[in-house]
Parts: sequence; structure tokens; C-alpha cells
Amino acid sequence: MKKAILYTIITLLLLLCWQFATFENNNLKLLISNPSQSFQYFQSHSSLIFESVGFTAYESLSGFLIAILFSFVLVFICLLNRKLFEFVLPIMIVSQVIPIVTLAPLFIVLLGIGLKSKIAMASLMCFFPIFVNLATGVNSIEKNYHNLFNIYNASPSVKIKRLYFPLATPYIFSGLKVSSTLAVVGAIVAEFNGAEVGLGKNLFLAAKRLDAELMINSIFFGCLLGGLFYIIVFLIEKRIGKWYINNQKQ
Amino acid sequence: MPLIVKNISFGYTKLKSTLKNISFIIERGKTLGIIGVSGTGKSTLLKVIADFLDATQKKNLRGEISFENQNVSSLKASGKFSFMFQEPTLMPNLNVWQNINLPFKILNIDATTISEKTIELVGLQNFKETYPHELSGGMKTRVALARSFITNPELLLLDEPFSSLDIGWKNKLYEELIQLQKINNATVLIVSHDLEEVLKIADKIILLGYDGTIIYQQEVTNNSPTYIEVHKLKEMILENYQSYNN
Repeated sequence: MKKAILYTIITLLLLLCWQFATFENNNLKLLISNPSQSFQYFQSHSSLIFESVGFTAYESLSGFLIAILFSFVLVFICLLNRKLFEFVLPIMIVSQVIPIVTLAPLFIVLLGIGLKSKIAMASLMCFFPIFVNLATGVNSIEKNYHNLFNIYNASPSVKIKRLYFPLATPYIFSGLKVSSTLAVVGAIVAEFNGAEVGLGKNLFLAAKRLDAELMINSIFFGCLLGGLFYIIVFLIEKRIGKWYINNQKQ
Repeated sequence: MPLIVKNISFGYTKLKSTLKNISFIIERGKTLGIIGVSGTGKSTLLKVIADFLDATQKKNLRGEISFENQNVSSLKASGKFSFMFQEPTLMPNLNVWQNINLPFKILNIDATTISEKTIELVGLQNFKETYPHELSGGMKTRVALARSFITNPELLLLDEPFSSLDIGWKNKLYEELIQLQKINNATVLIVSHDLEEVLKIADKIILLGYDGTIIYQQEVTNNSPTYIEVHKLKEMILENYQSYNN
């Protein structure tokens, strides 16, 4: 609670500094606006901003969920055939060095200016951290746990349900937390490259038109969206991962 | 019907054998103690009997193992085989009750009555909802012991199960082990460094040497071994150790 109060005070102080810094400096005000003007802009353009936030949220969430689905299915298939796992994992790790944001224009060309290209970009951004963390979690399970399940002749599906996924939970959530914010980054980057509506498009236009209020509002809601996704994942983890969270505390 | 281990030879690589021509018979309901210093292949022998080797390792395995005229793999599906690791190997995401019942969950059997009896036998009925990280070392070992016995195994392998416990807990768990063994008429194989421990609970002992062979085997007639008996075994182990290192 004390920490929360401290953070709130620091944030308010920073906002105040920002407000006063732009009070008599018109050049600075033109470039970065200030909190009060940005809020006024939000009040007068709330429908436009909310529409953009809605679109970006939809694209990010869809991309995030598709990435979860694909990575879980791929790991599931690999677990049924461990040799496939050994083949796929190095490829996935090496693929992470690709700067994925550079693929955004390609997605626009391939999938058009609509939602599909943004969802594809968001899901690609999320896919690697989820897959690699899940795979690392599964691979880090001690040999004795595998033997424990072999004692009772456990089938692959029982092992997946009762061994791999439960013991890989900390890794899964680690990947999900990273990806939850990457999903928003992916969607916004794709919107930069061409979109009808969205926070990324607003940022692109704001930079072009030197519209500081629109830029500040888009940045603020982009952060809020990423933070919201992260908090949702964090709350789910707190519920599912009680056993290791309590263990870490001790 | 006994557990028959016949001419087992095995090496993790083709160049070096860890076990050489291991043969023994242990009658149903009896306990075999496997002793020897580190690196003589005691745990490997248990792994071989438990069929824990992967496909590549199996290529280096020679010999036959049968229990009640079946191989160990067929015992596994019916839950008649169990293994207790050196570490308790409890599932950290499951509480005591769920950990003890894990074999039933894997085998898809509902057996609440058996679980209630077993948890009482190891004295953990008040810790059903407790998670492994909240348990002491002795309690974890008791959970692992209860889990090993829950399916009424006919063959139980124990790999230095009580090595991390103090003497008080050890004595208590020996009693629990013997009690559980009597109920199930289980055949038990126990690996240990602790000679006194093995002589207390085993009906027969085998001593493994550095060359991977059995250098001594003996029926145990007296579960309260004299100082001379223990000393004689210790001398043999020391002799083997010195001859290997010279």
C-alpha cells in the first residue's frame, strides 16, 4: 500500500513537472503538448480515440490468443513425438533473432490493409516467446518426474495433462507475460504501415501532422492496453500458479 | 513366484560395463538389500530392473528379468510395480492428498478408501491440503512412501529412500515400510549406503563391487546384526574400494 502511494505521488509530480515545463515554452508545448491540453483533446475526441483503442485491442487480443493456440498445439504435437521436438526447438530459437517488426510491410502486402495483417503481426510477435518458454519449461522437467509417470505406464495425453503442462506453468506464464505486451506492440507496428483505424495509425498521423495531443493520447492508451493485458495474465497466474508463487515467497 | 534377475550386463556406453553378470532370486514378500560404495552401479541396477532405460541405452542391456513370470513393463500398467526415488519427487503443484493419489489418477482408478488408509498409516491425515514446499524432509519422504504403496504394489524398488533423514525419522519409516510391506506382501529391493539400515530390514543382501559384479551375497537371518557382522561387511567394502583405487 505504501509503495502504491509512493508511485502515485511520483507520477503526479512528473505530470506537474511536465505541465509547468510547457507552461511558458510554446515550442516545447507544440512538440509534446501537456497533460491538461491532452486531456481536453481526449474529451473532445473521445469517440475517435475509443474507436482506435477498440480496434487495436481487438487485433492484439486476437493475435495473442491465436499465438497461444498455435504454440500450444505445436508443443503438443512435438510432445507426442520427441524427435520432432528436438528438430523444431533449435529452429524456433534461431528464428527469434529475426527482427519481426520488419515483416509488417510484408503482411500488409500479403493480407491487405484490414484486420488480418494486424492480427497476423501481433500473433507472430507473441508466438516465439510463448513457444520457446513452453518448450523450455517442458525440457526442464527432471528425469525422475518422467520416470514417476513411466512407473504407471502413463499415456502421452496423461503426461501432457498431469506432467508437462503443470510443471511448465511458471515458464508458460513467463512467456505469456512477455507476449501480452508484445501483442500490442505488434498490432501498433502493423498499423503504422497502413491501417484504416487504430492507435498505430493515429501515431503515424500525429507525427506527420505534428498533432502532439493525438500522439500523447495514443501513447497513453497504447501503454494502458499493454498494461491491462499484462495485469490480466498476472491475475490468471496468481490464481493458477499459487503453488510456485507461494514457494518463491518462502 | 520370485523376482528373477538372470545374467544382467549393462553399460551406459558400449566401452564400459556398469553391471556384469548380475544374477539373483528374491522370493515374493521378501526384501533384498543392495549395498556397495558410490559408483558400483546400485542405482543403475534398480533403473535396469524398473525399465527406466531409454531406447539407446536398452541396446547395451543383456540378460533377463522376470517377476511372477511377467516382465516389469506389464506390471506397470496394472499399478503392481512401484519405485521410490532418492529424492521424494513430489509434484509441487499438488497437495499431499493429490500427490498420494497421483498413481490412481494416472491409472484412472477411483480408490478413496485405500488412500484414506494409506495416508493414516504414514500419519499425514492432518496435512492433506498441505503443499510439498510446506512440508519437512521427513514428511515429504512419508508422502513419497505412501504414494509408492497406494496401488498395493507387488514389486517395490527403493533407491536410497531415507538417505536425507535423521535416525529418528529413519526408524519410524522402517517400521512403516515393514508394516506396508506385510499388508501387500510386496517384494522390496532397497539400495542403500547404510549397512545397518539394510541389515535391519532385508532378508537377503547383495554387495556390488567396482567391477560391476556381485562380490558377496548372503541371506540375513538376524535383523539385529551384531557389531562383528556389520564390521565384516564394512571390511569387504573397504577391501574392494582399496583394490580398485590401487
